[in-house]
Amino acid sequence: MAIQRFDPRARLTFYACLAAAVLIANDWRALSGFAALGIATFLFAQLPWSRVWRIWAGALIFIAAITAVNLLFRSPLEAAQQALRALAMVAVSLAIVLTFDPAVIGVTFRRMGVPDRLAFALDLTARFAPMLARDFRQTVDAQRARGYELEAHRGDLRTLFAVGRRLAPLFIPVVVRAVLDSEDRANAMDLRAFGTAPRTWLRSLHLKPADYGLIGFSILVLAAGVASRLLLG
Amino acid sequence: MADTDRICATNLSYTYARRSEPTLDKLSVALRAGELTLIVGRSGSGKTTLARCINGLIPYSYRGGRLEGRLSIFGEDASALSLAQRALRIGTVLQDPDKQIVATRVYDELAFGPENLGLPREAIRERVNEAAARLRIAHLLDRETHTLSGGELQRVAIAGVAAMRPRALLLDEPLASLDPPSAWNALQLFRQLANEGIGVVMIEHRLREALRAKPQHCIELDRGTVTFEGDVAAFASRYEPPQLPLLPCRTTPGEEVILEFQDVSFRYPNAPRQQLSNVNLTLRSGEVIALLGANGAGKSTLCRIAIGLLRPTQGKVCLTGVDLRALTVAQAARQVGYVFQNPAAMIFASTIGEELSFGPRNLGMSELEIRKAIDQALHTVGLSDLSLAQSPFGLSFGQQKRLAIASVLTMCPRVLILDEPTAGLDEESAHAMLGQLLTAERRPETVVMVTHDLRLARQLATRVVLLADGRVIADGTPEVILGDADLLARARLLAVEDGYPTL
Repeated sequence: MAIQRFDPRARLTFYACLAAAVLIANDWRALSGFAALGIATFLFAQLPWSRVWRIWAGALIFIAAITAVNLLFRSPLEAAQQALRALAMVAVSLAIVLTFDPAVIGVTFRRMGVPDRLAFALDLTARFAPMLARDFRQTVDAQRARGYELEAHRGDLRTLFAVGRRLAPLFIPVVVRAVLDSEDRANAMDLRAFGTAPRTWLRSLHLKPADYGLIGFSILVLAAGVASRLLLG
Repeated sequence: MADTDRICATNLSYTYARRSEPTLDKLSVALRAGELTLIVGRSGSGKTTLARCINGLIPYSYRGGRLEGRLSIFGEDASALSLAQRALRIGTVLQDPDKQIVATRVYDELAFGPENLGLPREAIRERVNEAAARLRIAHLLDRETHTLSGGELQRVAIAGVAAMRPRALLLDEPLASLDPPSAWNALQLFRQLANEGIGVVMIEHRLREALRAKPQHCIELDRGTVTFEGDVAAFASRYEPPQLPLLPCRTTPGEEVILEFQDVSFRYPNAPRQQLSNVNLTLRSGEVIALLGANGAGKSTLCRIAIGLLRPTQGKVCLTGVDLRALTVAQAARQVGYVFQNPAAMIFASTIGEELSFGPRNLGMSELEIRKAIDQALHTVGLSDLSLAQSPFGLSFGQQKRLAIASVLTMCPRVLILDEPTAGLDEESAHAMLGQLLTAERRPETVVMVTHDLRLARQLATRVVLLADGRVIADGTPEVILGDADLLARARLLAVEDGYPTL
């Protein structure tokens, strides 16, 4: 059963509990268990490898770098604990964030008791983020089509750094464009009467027995984190 | 008719910030509920500005300008209504549908307005399905909005506003990116809405098609003032379709193959079907090719593959014999110029001068060459009177379109690909610009025009390629292809009025 089948509220509860447990726990055995749970959640998400391998590569490089620094100043066990903690967080974050449908963010938080205005704000953010990303890609594509070199040759790190350097001059115009675009989007929403009346959220959410099961399991995970801290230090 | 049934502008003037001349100059019009009003005028005549005054984007979004005169919306003083309050009364379809889309999925996009009205869920679903059926986009409901073609996006934008059932509908060039059958569907819808008592105001350059919606009321603007106001019969009697002469000299295709598509197929990740299937095309020097096809046929995808922005999932593209996979987009751009369908995607610099010099500078051209190329390009697109220090963001959509073309022309490409070059331009200006481009001394060797305009294709192209459902279904001379009504019907390029009621 893919994790997407659970109600978004149950998924968020699980995410919050596992993240809290990972932050609370400090014992390598508990952290190993949470890291395994995070990886299992990631596998349950059934995300296509082509979509996530770059993120994983970046995250693993980051974790390795942090571990190397920790080894200089802390014991190997402490470094391993930090690595396990980071691994658990990356795995569960990818699983939850990448499977969350932006269209249900507003209604999810509204049904979790968040006030209407804040739910609107979260919904707006969810709507804007992919559009801004798409507009950014479009702007960059348009400049590449006008002869601006932004492609790295495969595996060539020097070219990769050169690409980074060459992206810099585009940054300000792209940000300016993003600001103008977001104003356009805000206008487009106003032109569709956004915020004039109490809103109906078309999507309705219903918790099923499996969702209650996941919420219960999430509480157990949190309890395990607290217990490990109290019992194992 | 009572004021409560009209949108009335009285002595309305508007001057944009940092401009001395007013764009609207003491303009007075009355737009009535239950009527279809057609507003026409050349690019820059003030049509979109009038629309912005009515829907409230002026003054709420365009700050620093000077608005004078009186505007009342169904009996209420417009200045007392916020942007969103006006939206409850007037639905707006913007000139650039891309800027109108706020949801990631088509269904959510159509539901967005009714959700904001606080309607019950069942009523929202009913409205979404009704709007989708009216615009014939039910098959798109599950699609993600960023995967839609320009024409599909346009239909979704119209449906999203129609689903709100406002008292008036303000449509700024709603047909600009639509293929003829989709345009006809949209026109039928506008007519139907007007018959149902909604005031429909349509700003449109595609006059011949717009007149088929049988507008009761026509307004012509020129330099911000009303030069004609009356019924459609009076308007039609004074309207003369511009004479579009054939090019003075049609070039004969050369032997040199510049661009070659070899068995090219393409599918977007996670897309249910291929966007292009086994396309084989050879583009030679001296050709002016009209790439025709209905909305979503794969025309823009083919263009993006031609410059390497998308890589084929199967087959290959060769540019002067070199496999495009061996070149970066920037390297391909030295020979292939691509003007995006939407100028807003291209324009990014703070001045027109920087915008125009960006491409040639990337190619390493000297300042003298750049200066010369800019002058030539501006002359070709009819924007010579613009100051290079001016911001490109203040230009009208049509002017931005021409600037985008000029910014690619300055790179002197061998192949020029124009994606919907006439969108946002009146017929006469569009033809004059393309005629100028195709007869210029330093013209591109090969020109590809993506268009739905069969008349334009007949007048300007030396070759026509028809795309349908991602496949090339015909490739030949304009006389042969455009004379074959069955073929055009198969490519969904003929509207019901052209004798194909099944479309």
